Amino acid sequence: MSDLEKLEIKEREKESEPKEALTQSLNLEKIDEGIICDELIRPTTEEETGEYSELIKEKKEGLNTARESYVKKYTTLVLARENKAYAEELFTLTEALKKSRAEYLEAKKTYAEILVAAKKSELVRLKKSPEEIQSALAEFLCQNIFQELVIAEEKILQEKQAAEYPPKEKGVLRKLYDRWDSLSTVKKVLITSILTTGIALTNSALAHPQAGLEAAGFLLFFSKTVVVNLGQELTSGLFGLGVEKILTKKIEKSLKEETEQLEANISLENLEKLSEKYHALLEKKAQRGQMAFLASAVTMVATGRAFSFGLNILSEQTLFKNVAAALAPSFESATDIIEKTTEFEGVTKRASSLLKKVFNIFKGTHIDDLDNN
Amino acid sequence: MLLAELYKLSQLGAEKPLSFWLPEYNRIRTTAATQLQKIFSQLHETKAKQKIKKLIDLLSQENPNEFELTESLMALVEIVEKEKPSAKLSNLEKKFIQTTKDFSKLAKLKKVFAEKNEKLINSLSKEQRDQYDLRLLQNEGMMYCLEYYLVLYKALTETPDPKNKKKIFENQEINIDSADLPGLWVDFNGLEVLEKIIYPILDDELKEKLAVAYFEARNKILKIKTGETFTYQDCSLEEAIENLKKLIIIFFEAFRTKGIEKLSSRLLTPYGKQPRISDIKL
Repeated sequence: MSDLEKLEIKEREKESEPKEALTQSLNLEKIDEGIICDELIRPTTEEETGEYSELIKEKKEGLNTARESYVKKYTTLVLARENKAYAEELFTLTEALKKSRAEYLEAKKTYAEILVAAKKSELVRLKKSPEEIQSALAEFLCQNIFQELVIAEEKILQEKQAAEYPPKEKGVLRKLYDRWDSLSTVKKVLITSILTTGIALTNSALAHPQAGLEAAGFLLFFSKTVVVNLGQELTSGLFGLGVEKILTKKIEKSLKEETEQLEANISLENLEKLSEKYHALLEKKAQRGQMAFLASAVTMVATGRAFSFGLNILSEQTLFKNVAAALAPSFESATDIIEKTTEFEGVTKRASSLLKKVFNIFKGTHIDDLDNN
Repeated sequence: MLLAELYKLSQLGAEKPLSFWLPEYNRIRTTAATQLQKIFSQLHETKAKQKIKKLIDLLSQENPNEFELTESLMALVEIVEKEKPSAKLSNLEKKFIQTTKDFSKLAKLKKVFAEKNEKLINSLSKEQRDQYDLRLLQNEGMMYCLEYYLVLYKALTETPDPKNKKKIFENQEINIDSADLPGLWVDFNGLEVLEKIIYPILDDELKEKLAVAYFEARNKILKIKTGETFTYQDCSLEEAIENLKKLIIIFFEAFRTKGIEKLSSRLLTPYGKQPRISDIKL
């Protein structure tokens, strides 16, 4: 018999000892036990009156603090990696980051719990039936908690992380991608069309900002100077493949579907897990977006039959100054995609001239313009 | 809602000893104690009132006696179970009851060994205590823990089919090396290694280190099951394997700290006959 079992037997024996006569107190005992059971599940006064504002404020502040702390630790680790810190230091910083991430997720969960409790209190106060409460809470979880604490929160976190990136860490490519990503799908597709076909990109359109969405979208994408310098060449020289256009649509569709799947499974218990999954989805999207962008960039710098030349320049990292090593896997994947969708025969004179032009523009001061954005 | 607060406590307590989650405990306890005070003021001079008083007293402490805390929570469980037939229990009440029972089991186990170890520590010299720990690791620790985990870990890494990998976690028993070994979920759920090896260790520092690693792995691995089904939703198969690996590495360190450099290979020989621990590549 294990020690644990012995202890349990001893306790059972203790319980079976003759108890005091309950007589009169029996009913009171029963009443008190009833009170305890009722009170255990009674909403608190705060819950009943909906006075949650202070708690909500407090937990929200807690979440902000936890997020700031996490971003700070993240930046420290990135800088340490950049500075080639010793393995021990990297290990310590990684562990600290993990701990900080757990605290951040916990703060998010606590905040969500308060929001849900406040909502529930409101429903109870409105004397809704248990079924109505259940259904309203499920809706609240999807429409509010998921949107606010999974989608919007992840966006805030990513923006803060990006803002705190050490300058060298964030390559031009990522900056361009981020700017591209902030545009609407319509604009993205439109820009892609421009990039890949050269249509609608005339100096006249550029001279008149109201000329159309095409020009406006493109201006958002690249600095004006780049566009003006590139405009004529692109208009006359490029016949793109619409690679990014196709990829962009695919990526947007895939993210939407996968996000909907996550939303369908939202609950307070799996909030942390869903946050992590959504985070991973965005990372995946960013990688795939970079691929799409690279596909487009390559399409832009060469004619349809001059890919190998363009790729060589990219691989030497001269075209895109500051392309971080971290982007290499997506770059490789992008080249795969492009190679699969094109045929290589040689470099045309026109493409070669265009390539030099683009190369000079990217190599020049315009890169600094991008760095400042 | 008071029950929600108390459930948070018992949920954490069911996962790991109180000393591992004291900061969380101190965040929750004040709210719970305040709400209990309100109930207390409504009660008559009864045993039920005394039970509530006891719980309030414990929750007023920053680091209460864990066993007493579980006893006090169990008193509430008994009241709820007496008052409501199980069919009428809400989900939260059911979860509270189950986690409080698990919390209580874990706390009892700790108490039993704390008392037993205290007696031993008082009756043994430092040298004898070291010898006791060494024998424990060489015998039970080697056969029932390290070599057992290594056999299953090796099988996990060498089996290509995820279905077969999952069986190693899910099955009640697995036949490997001519031995019927318990599946990993069963082993972790039953706290076997904690009871047989970790808690009996007299060296507090070593015990603490192993317990931290054990609970970290256990809490993750147990999450492969949701309700009655193995879903791998909250812990993927890869995460479960990774957590087992981390635990084995901590055990390696512990054995080597005590001067044990080779596996005994008395029953299980996952990495050949008596290999050096330092030669084992996970």
